[in-house]
Amino acid sequence: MNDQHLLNCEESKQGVPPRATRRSFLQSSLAAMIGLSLSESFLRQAVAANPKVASKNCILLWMDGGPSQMETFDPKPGTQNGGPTRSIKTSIPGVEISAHLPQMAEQLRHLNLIRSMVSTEGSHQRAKYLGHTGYNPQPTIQHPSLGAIVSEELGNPDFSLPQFVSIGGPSFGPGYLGQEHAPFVVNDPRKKLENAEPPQSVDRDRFQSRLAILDRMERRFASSHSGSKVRDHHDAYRQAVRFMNAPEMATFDLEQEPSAVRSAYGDSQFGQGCLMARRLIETGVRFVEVTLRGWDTHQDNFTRTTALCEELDPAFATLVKELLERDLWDSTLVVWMGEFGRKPRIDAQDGRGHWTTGWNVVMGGGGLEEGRVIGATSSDGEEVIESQVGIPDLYHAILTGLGIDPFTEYLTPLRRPITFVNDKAQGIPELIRSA
Amino acid sequence: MPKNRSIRFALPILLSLYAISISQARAEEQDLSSSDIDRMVQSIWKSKGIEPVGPASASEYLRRVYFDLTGLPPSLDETESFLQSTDPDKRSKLVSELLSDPAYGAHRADVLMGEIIEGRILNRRLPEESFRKYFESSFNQDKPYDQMVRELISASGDSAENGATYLVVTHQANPEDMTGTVTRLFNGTQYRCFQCHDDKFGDWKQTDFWGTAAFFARTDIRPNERMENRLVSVLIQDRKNGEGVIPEGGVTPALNGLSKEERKKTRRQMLMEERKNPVAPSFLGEPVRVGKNENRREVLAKLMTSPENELFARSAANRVWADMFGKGLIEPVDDIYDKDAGEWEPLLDSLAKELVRSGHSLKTLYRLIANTQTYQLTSESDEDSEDLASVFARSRMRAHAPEVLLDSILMTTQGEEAFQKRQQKMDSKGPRDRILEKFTFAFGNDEGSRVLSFEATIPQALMMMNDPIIERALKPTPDSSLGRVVRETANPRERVRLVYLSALSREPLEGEMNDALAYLREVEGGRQAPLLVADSGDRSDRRSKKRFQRMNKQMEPYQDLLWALMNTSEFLYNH
Repeated sequence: MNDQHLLNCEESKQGVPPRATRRSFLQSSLAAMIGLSLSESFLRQAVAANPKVASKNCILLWMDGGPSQMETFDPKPGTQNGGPTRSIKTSIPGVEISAHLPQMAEQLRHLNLIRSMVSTEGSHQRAKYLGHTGYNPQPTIQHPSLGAIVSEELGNPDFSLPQFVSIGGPSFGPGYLGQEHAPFVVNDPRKKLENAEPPQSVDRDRFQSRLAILDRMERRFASSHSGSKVRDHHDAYRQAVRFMNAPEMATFDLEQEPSAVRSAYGDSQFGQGCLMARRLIETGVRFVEVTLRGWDTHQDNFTRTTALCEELDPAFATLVKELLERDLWDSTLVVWMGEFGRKPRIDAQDGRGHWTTGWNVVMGGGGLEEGRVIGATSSDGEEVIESQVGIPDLYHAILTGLGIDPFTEYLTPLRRPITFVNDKAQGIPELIRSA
Repeated sequence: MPKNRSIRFALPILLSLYAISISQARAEEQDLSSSDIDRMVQSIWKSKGIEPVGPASASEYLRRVYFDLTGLPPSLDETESFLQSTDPDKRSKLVSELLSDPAYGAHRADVLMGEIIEGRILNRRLPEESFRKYFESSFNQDKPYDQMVRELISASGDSAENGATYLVVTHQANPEDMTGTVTRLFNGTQYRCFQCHDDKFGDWKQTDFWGTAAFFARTDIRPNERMENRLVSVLIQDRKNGEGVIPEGGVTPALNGLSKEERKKTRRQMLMEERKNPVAPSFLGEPVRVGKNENRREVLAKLMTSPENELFARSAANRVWADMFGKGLIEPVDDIYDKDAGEWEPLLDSLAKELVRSGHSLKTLYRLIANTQTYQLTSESDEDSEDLASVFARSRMRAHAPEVLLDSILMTTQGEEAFQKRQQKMDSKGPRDRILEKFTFAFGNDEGSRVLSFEATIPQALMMMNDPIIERALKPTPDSSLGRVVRETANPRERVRLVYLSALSREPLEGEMNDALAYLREVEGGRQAPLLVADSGDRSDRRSKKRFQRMNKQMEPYQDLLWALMNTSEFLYNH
């Protein structure tokens, strides 16, 4: 923002010269450089002038509803609890996963598998909060979600796109970190981005004229109403217009990918979301969450998880493959998880209920170790028999992997000091590669 | 917080003595007046050497008081007649009109219901009508606020018949949850921190929280009436037995994720705990004796609203002040226990006393404040003077709640008549809610958390600039504001004036008029947009509608102007 160009009241009374044309409107606003009109080359330079800081990125694959560990990464074939789900060998010797995930079985050696996750929340909303923030919901504070933490700690504020994008789900907000770290939500990656272009009936020229007159009006108001609210408004609009005009907007356009790549991820919303995640990370977005819904399989668990795995398998596996091929693997930490697991015992409607002890998280990349398996459950899946991992521990590991101090301290609005992860968290040392 | 509990009880008395000594000038039993309030505020400014800004213009005041009292902007007609009126008492008359407008109750209902539900989700299949009706009519009738709060805390029966059950229903009768809300909202006490642990800094004990929760330990909620798989109502009842307990870790365990056996075990443990270590009812740390046949919630409701509990009126008065100024005399408004308002203490005390004296009439407080000179200051200031706003010496810029902004957009674009028609058609779960959902989503999007206001983010700016909702709203129809603008006059100057009045409730400045006229000239056809339909013409007539569509193209520059005005901070904030 360049305050020198704010119109003062004297000037404004004279108005625009009577022979003003649309062009002169544009020029006056361009000259002001408020950013409400575009100059792509200027933006390109701005981007180029900000060389990518060597920093890590994160992709969270969120399995909404709570995925069944028994049908994904901890199958128990041949037991009563295991049901009809078979298992297959993976690229980690001696480790088998569900036969529904053949492509993931190949990629598994690049990743790590945690089979002993324990959550302290058993109902969806509370458990999702815990899974997204590392904290149990508390009545007096909103904790920032993982995406917001990454945006705050690793984000580049000069970048044209938001640093935290959530595809196919709302994710969770920035809590005490502030609205600038809120997720930018893409509802369906297969559809055109909502509200990123002027409405249909307004062509680009007309939109520019609208911005020009808005610019004048806003300046006039700002000149007599100084304060942070007006500045926030100015910043948000400037960023929004920059976003609309950014060359990086093309990242959201999946048509630009070869059809072979598109179909490798699968045509599903989740598959295309994973592809978009890869494109966004490549462009410089720090955190992308992709949601796959439908894991709350209280009834008809086996048919439903089979179908879900058909979406999951090609998407997740192709994402890993592509990140490796494109040399992004060591800088991009990928986490696969849901809010909890499913009950090992099968109930009357062929369903599985909620389950908080002994479920799975898969994570890798970002310079973590590879091919490790942490924890184990008993043969019926009902007990954790080795190294329980709590969600705060998981958060400790994720943040450490990303190069963020998990005990970074912030002050909440009630002026209570709080750390990103609660101080009892121990992390998962086996996953952190020693330098 | 003091370590010694006795101080806590002495403090309010000391403070009130202080207040009396300060306001000796005014007779003890005399009602508080708006100028009393101004005098108190001015004396603080004087002692701090603060020079307030000047008074708000008629337009600025009109728009602000409309938003604050009704959650809506004034209509074009209301704006014109107010601005033209030469009645020296027009401002105070307006306040009286707005306080008796049903929109007052509707707005207060929006606010309080939002505070109560606070991100919780009401069972989607449960009709909301009875609740809304209860809140709206209570506020519109100016039901004594203490009575209203008693009703909310102790409500029982069928939810379709007794809308006061809203608090219990939204909290699923969960004792800890209700305790947190009730103490925070009505008693200005942030107890919730001590739900899980003793107070690290003060002298609250975990048992103080659970002692209050014990008042809610006997309340049950169950489905009452169904109709074709749709829940019609739930029933709230109190048992004769049941005790408060402190669950392990301070959070009642979720039974959801547990196996049947574990669930049974957990229930058994809770019951045993209840027998072994019952937590007796207490309020603000003091044990409360409850008779065997007394309803516990009624006992709590009476205690909380009794004149001995000064916190109740202080909390209410502080919240009313915050509604009108965007900031309480003590902040945060839900955490005023044991805090005095510093130099503002005499003012807060007077307001609280006035609330009690008026028979807990909230309208009395809103009226008093709306008529002060302090409330009527301008928001204009050429220096970055947030400090002025923080001592109420300048009107503060405030973000609108999503529902207020949405209504404001609809009212501005549709005009009052169409807006009212729409409102009537839209029941509480109708299209307005669907738009609002989308709207709220763009405002920030946790599933569980409530977004309180427009905080200027990229998605919000994108929505305001590009969303089809906005574009549809801008489309001129015979009934819409723009339709009216072109119908009424062919003179571009006059049209620009009407657009400004519709959007911002004020006349354009000369510079703005010139900008707008230049804009109209430059955009093709702008000036030629002819007078479309004679005012007396039948607006719903099909032919005139068709003609309107043809004229759309020529209306574009006016749409652009209105679009731009609606994207300014002047439109998006209350100030």
